[in-house]
Amino acid sequence: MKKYSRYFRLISQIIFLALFFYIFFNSIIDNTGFSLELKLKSKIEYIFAIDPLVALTTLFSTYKLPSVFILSLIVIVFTLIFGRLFCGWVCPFGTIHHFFSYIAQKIRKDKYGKGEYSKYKNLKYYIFTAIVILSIMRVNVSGYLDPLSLLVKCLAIFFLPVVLILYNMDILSDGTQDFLFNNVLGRDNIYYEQAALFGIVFIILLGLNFYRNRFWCKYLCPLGGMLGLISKYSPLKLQHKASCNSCGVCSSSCYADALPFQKNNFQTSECMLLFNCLPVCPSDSLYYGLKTKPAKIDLSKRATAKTLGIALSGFFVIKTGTKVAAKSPQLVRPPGSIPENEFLKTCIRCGACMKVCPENFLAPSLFESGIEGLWTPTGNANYGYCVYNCNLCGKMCPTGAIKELSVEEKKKTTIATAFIDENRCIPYAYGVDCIVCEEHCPTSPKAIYFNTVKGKNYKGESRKIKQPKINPEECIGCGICQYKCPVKDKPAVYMTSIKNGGVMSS
Amino acid sequence: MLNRRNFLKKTMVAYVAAKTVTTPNVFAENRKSNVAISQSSNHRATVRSAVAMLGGMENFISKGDVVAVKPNMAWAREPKYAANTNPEVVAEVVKLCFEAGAKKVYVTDNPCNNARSVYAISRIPEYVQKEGAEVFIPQNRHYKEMNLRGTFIDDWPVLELFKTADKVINVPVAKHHGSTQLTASIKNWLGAVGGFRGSLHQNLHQAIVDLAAFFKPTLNIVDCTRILMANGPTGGSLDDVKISNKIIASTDQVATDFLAAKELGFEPTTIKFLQIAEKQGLGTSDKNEMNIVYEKV
Repeated sequence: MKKYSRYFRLISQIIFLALFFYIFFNSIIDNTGFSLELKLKSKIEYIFAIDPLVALTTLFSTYKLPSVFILSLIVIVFTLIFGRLFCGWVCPFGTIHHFFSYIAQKIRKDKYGKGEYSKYKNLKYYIFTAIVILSIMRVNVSGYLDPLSLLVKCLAIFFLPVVLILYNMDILSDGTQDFLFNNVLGRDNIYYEQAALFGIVFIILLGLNFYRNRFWCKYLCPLGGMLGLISKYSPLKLQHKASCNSCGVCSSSCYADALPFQKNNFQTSECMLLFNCLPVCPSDSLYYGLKTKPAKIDLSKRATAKTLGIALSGFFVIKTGTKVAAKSPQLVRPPGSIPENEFLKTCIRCGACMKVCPENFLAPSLFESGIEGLWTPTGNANYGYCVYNCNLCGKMCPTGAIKELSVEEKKKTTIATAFIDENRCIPYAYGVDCIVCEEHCPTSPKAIYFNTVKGKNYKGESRKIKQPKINPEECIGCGICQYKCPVKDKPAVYMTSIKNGGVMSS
Repeated sequence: MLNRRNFLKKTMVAYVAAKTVTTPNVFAENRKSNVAISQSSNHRATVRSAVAMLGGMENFISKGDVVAVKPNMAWAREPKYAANTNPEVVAEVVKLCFEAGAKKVYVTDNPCNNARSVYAISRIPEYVQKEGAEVFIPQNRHYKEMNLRGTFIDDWPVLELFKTADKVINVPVAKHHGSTQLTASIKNWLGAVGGFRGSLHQNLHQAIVDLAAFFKPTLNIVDCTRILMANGPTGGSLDDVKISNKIIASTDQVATDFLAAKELGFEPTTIKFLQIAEKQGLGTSDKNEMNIVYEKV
């Protein structure tokens, strides 16, 4: 049994990773069935439902706990009993790191000494503490470092564009391309300005496994820190028999660097129950069993005070960077978004709305809403538009930062206003026919209409010219006009975040 | 410059063009364009009778043909708004193709709104799949850059299916259009190309004639069952929809559009693309040059 325990762990990792990929990649619309309602093939919000870190910070920063997070209680209960089972057996990001660590372990030349306790392992506890302090101060930063949010963002913003590049290279068979289109990509317009940035973050995090096994999990992961703290009193842990002579063989196979060979200094809270150590022990002295002695988590008061200081100063740095939402023309929130100050507290920056957006409208923001709004969703009509009859983002938002709207409500929800740049607009500037914007405007009556005037084109010929105009009461700011405008580089019709063009309708 | 090589090339092109433009004509002895108009509140029967008046689908489809059907499926609007071809009409065309022995019938279009929404809300895929047609959302690789040899358009990405299929059947809806006044057979070809189509709007009349000349459909079946009389091509209000219950079918794209214009209450001579198309020899907009047969089912 002992011999095989790590294979059970491996099977569990594979099952949960497969489940994760299944849910993630299937969070697209069925492209072959054509049912009337736009519906995702899977529920991407359940990826975050099991995440106690996001649940905790959301509870603190919004004083609300969306019901979907009830599932995260299971993780907490399991951790209370078994220890960091989640990290070793469930977490998909952990499994991906584990895979890279496995390769690294095989090819690593520098067999680093695993006999010493590295105080840097405490970093994750401090990161967790800082995140909690900030969420108590109602700044929700968990999404930047939460492993599931980070993984979903990296896959959605970086990995899917990578798949699209392969798909577009035309090196795959038609059948494979159809499979990718219908089961992985879901759409063939995927572009994010920040894709490369997420690519760099993702590759660095994976690359660090070649420096130290499961670097992210051991040193940085705040969820690992949280579960480590919860596991302090868990009754089941790795045990040593009297026959153990501290030979150290187990430690060299330990990916978590929990120092299993040190009989009295074994770091229970570091142990991810990977069970690599069990089969390698030459004297068969290790087993997993009951022991009530709490784990030692060696946090220094000084470092905790530093964390508090960093979190507090971080709070002010973040807050001074906050822009007045009304002064940010590019800050176009998805339809159904709750008021901006609530939105920033509630959004966990998971990137799921960007993943499911069928026409590539939603993208991670950079500093459109200040440093506090980094990676929150904003609509960018240069690369996509908001589909008139689609309400998917609000439907799957795990925390309710984007409210669920019915399709009919969505069609009446204003998120921005279109403006026409008469210096660039083809009929205005050159007297040449166009009105592509008017044609595409989805509202009824149309928010874009045209006036027919007599004028001359740039060649001096007299003709009737149709000049587009915006009706601020009808425009909902979907951005299709901007996306389809033939003046491609800097569209002659463009959206900004003000609603109804600032006109007070009477 | 007219040197020998150019002369030979041009003769070849003219010869091939003359060969292919000649359409199968039921009444082969006269050179007039045959047009069938049928009317009924049973839209499927209307299609059937219009095609029957032209000699039946067997006249156009051979056994074992791969057929590409091109509806107007561009907007995320329900059938009642008449912004897309009536799904019943497209379904009946598919059925007729299979009855005439077609091996495979594809139905696709490059829509203007989110493709998945258009395909669902227009209901066309749902109806034609029941008749056994294959529907697919065009992906990037389904377009191939081709030389259209048009007056306005040279190289442009084209939905390859409409050039590789044995037969192409054009099933547009007749409706008002903000830029060209009318959209029916000729304008429908804008949906068979990819690329940044907005740019074509700057010389749209010539662009669509170039496309219609390039695609050369086997048959045009214009849906006039519901007609969007104003605020086209998108519509969205039932006030703009007129119920006509008519189908206009012909191999002549100019003739169908001429008659469709009349249905919309336009004076066809004011429609620029019809004039261009006639001048380029695509068909006729002279009623005396048409054999119009009418039937009320």
